[in-house]
Amino acid sequence: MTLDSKLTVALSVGETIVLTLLIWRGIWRNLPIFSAYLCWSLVTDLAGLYLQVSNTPNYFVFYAIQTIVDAVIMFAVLVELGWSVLRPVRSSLPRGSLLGLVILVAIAGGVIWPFASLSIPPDLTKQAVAFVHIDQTFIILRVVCFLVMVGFSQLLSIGWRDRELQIATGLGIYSMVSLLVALFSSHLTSVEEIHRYHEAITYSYLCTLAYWVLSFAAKEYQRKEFSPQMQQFLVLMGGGSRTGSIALTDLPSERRGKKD
Amino acid sequence: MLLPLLQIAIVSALLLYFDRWRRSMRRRNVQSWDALLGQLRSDWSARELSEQFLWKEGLTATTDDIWQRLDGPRGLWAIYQNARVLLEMADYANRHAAPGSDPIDPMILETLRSDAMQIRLCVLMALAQYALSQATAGVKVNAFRAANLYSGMAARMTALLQDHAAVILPDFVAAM
Repeated sequence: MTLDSKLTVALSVGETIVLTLLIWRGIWRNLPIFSAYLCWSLVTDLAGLYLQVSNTPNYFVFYAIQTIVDAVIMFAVLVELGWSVLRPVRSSLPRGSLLGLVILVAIAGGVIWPFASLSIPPDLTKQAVAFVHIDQTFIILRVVCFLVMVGFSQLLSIGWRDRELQIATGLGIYSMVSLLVALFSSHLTSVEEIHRYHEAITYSYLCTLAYWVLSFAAKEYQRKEFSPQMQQFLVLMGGGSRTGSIALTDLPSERRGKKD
Repeated sequence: MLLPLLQIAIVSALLLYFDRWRRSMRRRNVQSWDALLGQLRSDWSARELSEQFLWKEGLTATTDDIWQRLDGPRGLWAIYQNARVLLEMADYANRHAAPGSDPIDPMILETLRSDAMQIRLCVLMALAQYALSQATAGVKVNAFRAANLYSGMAARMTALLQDHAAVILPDFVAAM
């Protein structure tokens, strides 16, 4: 058994455990696309393992298709995560916000596409260049989407629940390592060296799976004291704020302007 | 040689930012109610906003007066930070409300979040406009909106503390 095959077996075991925990803890109900992504990864890892062992010549084609589909589902996961974070304020958002989010991601992909070609290693075949170009575009886009999401939530002070934060942490580490590998690969010349660097991505994904196993195995959080006084405090603050918002439509400066 | 170094510097900065954000989110998820109250800015007071600040909702002054009383961008920034604390209070309530007790009306929490976010947006817009064009009418209107929402929330908070937690009321009044 080669190192690649051993790594694939380890990934499959990790994904199976994470999936079991997702179902056991009921997390899949809130994040179905993330759960589907792990199912997809498990299926493709097992199929890849079979193709590696059986020495099928079409392995490269399988790998290229798998990478593209994988990247598309990963975006759906990021959109789902962003939508889940926006849950408390969803009703205040304009209609079609989700569609707008998807269009923005697509536009960002179009902008990144030409820049991604700058870091393609030289001396590669035409087929490999196309594959690396797509791969690097998705890696950069993933990091950009992630940072925009984090920056926006920090700006508006939107909180992330523990599970969302755990998933984001895992995906963040995986994305950052992928970006580092993509940058270092651009200075390499041989396919063997590039392959060796790409193994770092597999190791980072393995670490991410281990982190998710430890995180999902634990309970989400310890409930703290929330007394009736605290509750009434919030009810009072929230209850009267409507009146304040309505009053804003009649600003003193506007009133003065009307008089003038 | 310069390009790889630049790339490493950018990725390192991103990693540091990511780590810092993650830590702050984690801290936010485990903090206590007292710690939240303690985060309200005490180095700037909003009592100049109206004669009966903390005791009565709404502002009666003009946008120009409010801009002066806010002490310009300094007051706006304090309001921006206190609005974050209010949002975190809403999150706290959502996370820690006891399962058996009367649940808080989701609409109230939503309104609270919406107001706090509206304050932050108004402040950000006002500060951005101020950076570009100093204190124009648009800046002052946005500052007024933020201050009006803020004074309303502060007045409701004072009324509640007066009724239910009179012991901590002096601390709160001093902090605001």
